[in-house]
Amino acid sequence: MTHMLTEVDSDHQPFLRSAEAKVSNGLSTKKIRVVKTVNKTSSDEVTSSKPSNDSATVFDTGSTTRDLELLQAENEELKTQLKAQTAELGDARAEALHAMELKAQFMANISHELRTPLSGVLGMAELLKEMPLTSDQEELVNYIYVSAAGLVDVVNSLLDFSRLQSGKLRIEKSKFSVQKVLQDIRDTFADVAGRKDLQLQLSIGKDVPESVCGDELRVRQVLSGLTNNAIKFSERGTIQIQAQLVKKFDDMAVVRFVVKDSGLGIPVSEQERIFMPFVQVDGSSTRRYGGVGLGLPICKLLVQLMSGSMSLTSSAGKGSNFSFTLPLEVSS
Amino acid sequence: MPDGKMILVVEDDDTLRLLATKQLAKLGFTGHAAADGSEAVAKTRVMPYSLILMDVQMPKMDGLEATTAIRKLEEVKHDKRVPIIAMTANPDRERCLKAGMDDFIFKPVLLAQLRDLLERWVPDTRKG
Repeated sequence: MTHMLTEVDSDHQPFLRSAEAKVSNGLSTKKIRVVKTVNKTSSDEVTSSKPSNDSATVFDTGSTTRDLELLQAENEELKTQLKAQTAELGDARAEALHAMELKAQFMANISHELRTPLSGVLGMAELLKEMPLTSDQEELVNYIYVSAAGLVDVVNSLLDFSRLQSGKLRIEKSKFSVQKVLQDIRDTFADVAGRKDLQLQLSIGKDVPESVCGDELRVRQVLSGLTNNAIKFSERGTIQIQAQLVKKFDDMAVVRFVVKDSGLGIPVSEQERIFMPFVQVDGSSTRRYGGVGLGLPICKLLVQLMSGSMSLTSSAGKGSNFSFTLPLEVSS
Repeated sequence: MPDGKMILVVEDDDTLRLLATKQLAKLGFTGHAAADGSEAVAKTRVMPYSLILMDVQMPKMDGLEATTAIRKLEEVKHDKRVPIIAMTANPDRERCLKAGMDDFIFKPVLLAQLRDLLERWVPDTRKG
């Protein structure tokens, strides 16, 4: 509670300063009024709202107790106003936090409601695919299946992003094999890559420990995301998927995962932006590549959540090299 | 009914309940269906299932409550612990484990995942 109050205070320093300024302006105006009473100056001088430099002297020579009382009263009033406004800001902040919480809850609910019928479409389409069908029917069922699977990916991205933003996504550790994960990624994407005249090449450093402890599901998710991107933005050539040992302590290994493509590349000016949500290098209505724009932001946030870091080296036309390092416990 | 082939599907959505039983049939298992937690608890009293696929969010009695109830029953009756697998759209691992579930499978559930899961948890059966 105390912590929150301090935060509110420090958050609104600028507001406090502007309130202070108001108070001192009030003082200056008063001083001019003092001039009026004491010296009976002409109306021209009175309307000047500019605080004069010699007002202090004026104060010394002729301020009345009544004016001082007025001043104090006005000061008190301003202080009360300030207090009220600070409280209002505190309320606004609490409301904003509550709204964020609601948004996360909304995303979770919507995702659940979308996923239920989607599971039906996808699962039934899969069963239908396995039945004896004419080639026309088979083609149509495949389209249903692929479309539904695409929609599932979108829903998953939205939910993951929302959970990452609200800090609700947790890292779950278990034993896994880096080698197996990379091989699975290659197997999963071999078909899609093959359709585009792309080759997937694996290389795993000999010193990368066979068995490590970490969040296998999330490591797979990041590697899939990067590989998927590499395939999406490359037309031909080779996509390299690598794992290298960076450092090894007693029971800890830092492993670098690399996904390197020979595709479009990303201009330096865009390299920071593409990790921001809902952004694509070409965001125009004529853009060639679809997508919600959450793939890389999710990858980056997941890597950070696993205490790692993501980096990118690329230049336009020369392909991209996405890599991330992760500390992983070595399990025997 | 051959041993180790009976699976209980607990799912409130009609389509997904039908889907799961059809998927199980395809993999050589027999799927019994329950539409909510209380129905699941009632069925496990009379049938020795080899595995339970349990939706989490359900009306009347949710999957967590049902799991806790089934675990209590097992304890009282000194029964073998049946693997209960959360089949869910919103993963909440901790709550599921705490309630006494053993594993998770995320919706949408496809044949390959279901096959892997059954091989892992019902190892003494041959599929097909």
